[in-house]
Amino acid sequence: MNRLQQILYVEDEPDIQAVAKPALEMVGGFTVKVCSSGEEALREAEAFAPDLIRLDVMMMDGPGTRAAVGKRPATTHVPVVFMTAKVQPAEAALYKSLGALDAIPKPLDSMNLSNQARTIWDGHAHG
Amino acid sequence: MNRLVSMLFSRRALLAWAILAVGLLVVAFVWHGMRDERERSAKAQFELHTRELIASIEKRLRDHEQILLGGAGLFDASANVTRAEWHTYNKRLRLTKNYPGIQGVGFSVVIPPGQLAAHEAQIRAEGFPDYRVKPSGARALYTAIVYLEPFAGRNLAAFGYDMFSESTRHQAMQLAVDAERTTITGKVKLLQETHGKQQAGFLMYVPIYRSGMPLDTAAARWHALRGYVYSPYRVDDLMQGILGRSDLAIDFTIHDGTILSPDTLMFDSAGAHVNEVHDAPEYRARRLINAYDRTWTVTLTSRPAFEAQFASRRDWWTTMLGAGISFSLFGLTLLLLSRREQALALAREMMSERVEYEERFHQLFLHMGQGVVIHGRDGQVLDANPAAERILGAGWRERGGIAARKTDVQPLREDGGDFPADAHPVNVALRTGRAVTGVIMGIWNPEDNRRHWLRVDAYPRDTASSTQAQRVYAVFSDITEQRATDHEARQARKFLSDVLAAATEVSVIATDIDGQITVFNAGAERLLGYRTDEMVGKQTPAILHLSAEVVARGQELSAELGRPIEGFRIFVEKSERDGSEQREWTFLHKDGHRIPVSLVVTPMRDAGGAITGYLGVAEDITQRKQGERALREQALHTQAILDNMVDGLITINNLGAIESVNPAAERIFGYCADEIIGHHVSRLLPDLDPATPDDASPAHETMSTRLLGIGREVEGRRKDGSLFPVELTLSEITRQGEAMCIGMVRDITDRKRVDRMKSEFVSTVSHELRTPLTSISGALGLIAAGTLGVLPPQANELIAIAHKNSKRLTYLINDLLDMEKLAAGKMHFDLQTLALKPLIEQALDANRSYGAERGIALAVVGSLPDVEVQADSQRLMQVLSNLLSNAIKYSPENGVVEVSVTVQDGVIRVTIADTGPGVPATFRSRIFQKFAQADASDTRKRGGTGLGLAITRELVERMSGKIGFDSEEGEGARFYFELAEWGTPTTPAGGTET
Repeated sequence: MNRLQQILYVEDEPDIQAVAKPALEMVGGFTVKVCSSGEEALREAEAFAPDLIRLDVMMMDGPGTRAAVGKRPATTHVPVVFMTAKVQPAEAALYKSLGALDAIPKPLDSMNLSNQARTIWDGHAHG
Repeated sequence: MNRLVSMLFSRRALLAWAILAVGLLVVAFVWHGMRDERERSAKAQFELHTRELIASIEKRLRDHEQILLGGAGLFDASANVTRAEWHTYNKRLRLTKNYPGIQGVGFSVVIPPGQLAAHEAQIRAEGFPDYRVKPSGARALYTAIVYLEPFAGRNLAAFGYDMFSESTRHQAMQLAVDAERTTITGKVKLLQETHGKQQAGFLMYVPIYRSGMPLDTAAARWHALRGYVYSPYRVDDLMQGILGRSDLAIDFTIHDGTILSPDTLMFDSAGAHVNEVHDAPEYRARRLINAYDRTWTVTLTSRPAFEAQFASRRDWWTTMLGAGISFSLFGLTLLLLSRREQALALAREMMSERVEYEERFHQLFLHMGQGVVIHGRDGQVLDANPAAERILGAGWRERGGIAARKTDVQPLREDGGDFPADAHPVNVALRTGRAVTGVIMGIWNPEDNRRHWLRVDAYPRDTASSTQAQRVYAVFSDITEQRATDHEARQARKFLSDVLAAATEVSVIATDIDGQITVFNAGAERLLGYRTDEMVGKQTPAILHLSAEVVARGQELSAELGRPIEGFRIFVEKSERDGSEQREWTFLHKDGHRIPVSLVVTPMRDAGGAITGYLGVAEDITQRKQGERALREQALHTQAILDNMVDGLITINNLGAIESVNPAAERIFGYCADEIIGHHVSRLLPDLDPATPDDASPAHETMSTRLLGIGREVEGRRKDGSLFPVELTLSEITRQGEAMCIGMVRDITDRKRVDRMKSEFVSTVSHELRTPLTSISGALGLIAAGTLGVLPPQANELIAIAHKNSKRLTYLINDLLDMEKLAAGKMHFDLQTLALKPLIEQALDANRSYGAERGIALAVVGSLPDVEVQADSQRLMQVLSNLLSNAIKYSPENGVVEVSVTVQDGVIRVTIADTGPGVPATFRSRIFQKFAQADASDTRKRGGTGLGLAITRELVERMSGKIGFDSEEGEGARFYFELAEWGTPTTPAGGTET
C-alpha cells in the first residue's frame, strides 16, 4: 500500500478544526481536507481520494457517516479512524464493530497527532 | 339326649349290653395271657444275666490264682528270684491288658526276728537307702513286701510293709499255710489307697516254701515257709476289669460274708450311675460265691432299662383296640335300635301333619283374595274358590272357566289385541307341562258390565305315572285398579324423566332409599361419561365419588353427630336433617379424571312425608375452581413481590390509617406490622399530618392534594423517633369501592450522603482546577492582546482559540462552584435595595459585545421603569447576564434580543425574548435542571455549561423571586423573572419592612 498522504478530517467543532489541521499539515506533512459534517465529507471524499478518514464519532451523524463511507465505491476501502471523548473498553469494541480501524480518545495531543495517524496507518497496511 | 338315655336303659337295649359284655370279656382274657407271657420271658432273661455275672466273677478269681501259682512256681524253681526276674515275669503276663483290674502281683518275704537288720541292710544295698520294714516294733515273725509289680504309683506305698502286722491279712496268710491252699482276705483297706476315691480291697495269697524241705504238716510248712506270692485288689477296679465297659441291664452289690451292711459292702454297681432313680426294681436275686474260704453275697436287681425292654406297649394297644371295638359294636347296635323307633315316630308325626296341612290349605283356598280355578286334563273346571267366582262374575263356569273357551267376549291382550285360545296360560301349561306366570289379560265381567284386567299364573300338576300335566291350577288376581294407578304413575314418571333427560347442562341423579340409582339423566351422562343403562338399577353414587373424600366426610359427620355415619348415609344424612345439603365434592369421570362439583342432595318424600329416595343435582365447578385458583396464585404472586421488594409499601385507608405494611416498610421504619397497623400514617411520615386548615375533608384527600405524585422527598420517622429522608410516591387507588392510598417509601439517607460527598468532591476538584487555569488564561490573554508583540497570523489564530477555550473552562468551573455553593447553602446573598434600571443597562452593555460577534442586537422594548428591588446586585447581574447570553446564544445570526420590564400589582417582571428555535415541548419540564440542554450537541455548538439556567433559577428563588418562560417551538423563547417591587405594601417578600 502507498504511503499515508491524504487525510480527510471530519469534525464539526471549529476550534478543533483550527488546531488539528495545522497540526497534521505542519507537523506530519500530510495533505488535509477538513469537513464540518458527514454530508460534506461524503461529498468531498470522491474528489479528494483520501488515504485515511478521521471521523468525530460524537458528531451528530458520526456513525451514519461511517456506514455511508463504507458503501460508496470510492471510499469503501478507505480506513476510518474514530475520534471520541468517550473511550471506555466496551465503547472501543463498539466502535470497532462499526468499522473503525481504531478509536482515538480526545483531547487531542496536537504534536503527537501525526505520529498517531502514521502508526495506525502502518498497523493497517501491514496487518 | 333324654331319649337316648332312656333308650340306653330300656329293655330294647339288652341286646346291645350283651354284645358289650362278651366283647370286654374276650379283651380281658387276651390281655391277661399276654402279661403272663411277658413275665416269664423277663424272669428267664434276668436269670441268664445273673448266671453270666457270677460265672465271670468266679472265673476271674481263678485266673488270678493261676497267676499267683505261676509266680510261686518261679520261686520254687529258683533258689533266688531277683527283683529283675520278678519284673520280667510280670511283664510277660501283660496283666493290665489281659486282666484289667488287678492292682499288682507281689512277693512278701518271711524274716525271722534275728535277721531283720540284715534284711533291711540287704535291700538298702539294692539301691533303696530309705528302705525299712513297716510298721516298726518287735514282733515274733516279720514279713516284708519286697517285690511288687508294677513297681510304681500306688504300689510304692506297700514297699516294706509287714502284712503280718494286720489281723485280716494275717488271718488269711496263716490259713494259707495251715490249710495249705490259696486264700483271700476279708474286706480291707489297701495301703495303695493313697489318693482318689477309696475303694474296698482284698488280697490273695499263695505261700512259697523252701525247696527240699518236708511240707507234710502245718508245723513243717511253717518251718519251710519262705514267703508269699500275693495280689492286692481294689474291688471297683477289679469289677470294672471283669465287666468291661458294657452297661449292664442289671445292678448288683457284693458283700463280704452273709451279713449285708455298709461295713461289709465291697462293691455296688449302682455307683456308676448314681443319678438313676429306681426304688422298686421288678426283678431281684441273691447268690453266694464261695471262693478260697470266703463267702461273698451277690445281690442282683433289674434296672429300668431292663424292665422297659419287657413293658411292651403292645398289651396296652391290644386292650384298648379290643375295648374300642366292643364299645363301637355296642353303639352301633343301640343306634340301629333307636333308628327303627324314630322311623316309626316320624311316620306317625307326618301323618298328622299332612292332615293338618290339608285342612290349612283348604282354608287358604277358600279365603284367599286371589282366584284359583283348577282345570282338568281337557280344560274342564274341577274346582274353584269363592274369589275366583267373585272375580270372574256369575255364570263364569258356563262360560268355560278361566280358560274361556266358550266366551261371548273374546279376552284381550295387554296391548288390546285378541287373546287367542291356544295362547291362554291354562292351555299353554296343559300343553307344555310348564308353569306360565304373569300373563295379563282382560276379560269381560257381565255382572258389572265392564272389563277387568287379570294377572294370571298357571301351574301344571302331573301325576306320578305321567309327565303330561293332568291338571292346572290357574291363580289370578284382579289388577284393574292397580293398572289404573300404575298408568298414572308411569305417566308422571315419564314426564319427570323427560324433563330430567332434557336437562343436559345439569347432572341429575336420583336414588332409591338404599342408594341404588334410579335416575341418571343426560346431563349426568355428559358430565361423568357413564351411560344411563350402566347406572340405573346397577350402581350407587359411591362409584362417582373420590373414596378418600367420602371417608373423610364420613369421619367428619360421625364426629359431629356422635354416631358412626357410613356408606350411602354419608351423602344423605345431612340432607335429611336440614331438608337439603349443598357441598363441594370431587366426582370421578368414567375415564378416571376428577371433576369438582357442587352437589345439592334433597330427600324425596311421598305424600305421607316418608322418604322414598334422594335427588342429587350436581354442577360442574371446574371453571370456577380454576378461576379461584388463578386468583389465589395471583394474590400469592403479588404478595411475594410485596414481601420481597426493597422499597417500603404502605397502604392507607381514607381516614389516613395504615392498613398494611410490607416487610421492607417494617425494616425501614423499625416497626413490626402489628405495632403500626391502624395508626395514622403521620406516625411514620410526619409530613402527612392531618392537622391542616381544611380538616373537614378526608385525610387522604388532603394527602393527595398535597403529596400525590412521584418521588417527593419527605421526612420519615423511625420507631425510635429519629428522622431520616425518604422518597415518597403516593398514589390513589380504589379498592372495593373505597378510595385509598398506596405509599411507596424509599429510604434515601444513603443516597443523600453520596450526593453530598459527590458535591464536595466536585467543589474540591473545581477549586484545584481554577488556580492553574487562571494562569493559563491570563498568559494567553496577554499574548492574544499583543502585549508581547505581534504574532504571525496563524499563531495569532491559535492563541485566540486557546484563550477563548480557557475562558470557557473558567466559566464552567465558576458555574460548578456556584451551583455547589447554592446547593450547599453556602452562597452568600448581600440583599440591598437597588434600582433596577441601571442594573439592566449595565447587563446589556456587558453582553453587547458578545452579541456583536454574531451580529445580534440587544434592544430595550418600551421604557425601563424606575423601580427598586431588594436584591444582591452581583447575583441579580448574574441572572440578567445568564438570560441575555442564553438568548444571544440561541438567536440566529443578525437577530435581535429584546428586553422589557413590566410592573403590575407590585410585581416586576423582566422579560428577555429571542427569536431562536424556541424550547422543544419535550424539554420544557427539564429546562431548569442541571446540565440540561435540549440537544446534547448544544454544548459544543452554543458553548455554555448546561448549568446556566439551573443556577439562574436558584439565584432568583434565593432572592424571593420567580423564574419562568413562554415559548412556542420555532418562534423564539421569552424567559422572564419576577421580583417584588420595593416599597409596595403588596410585595410578596419584605413587604412589612420599612
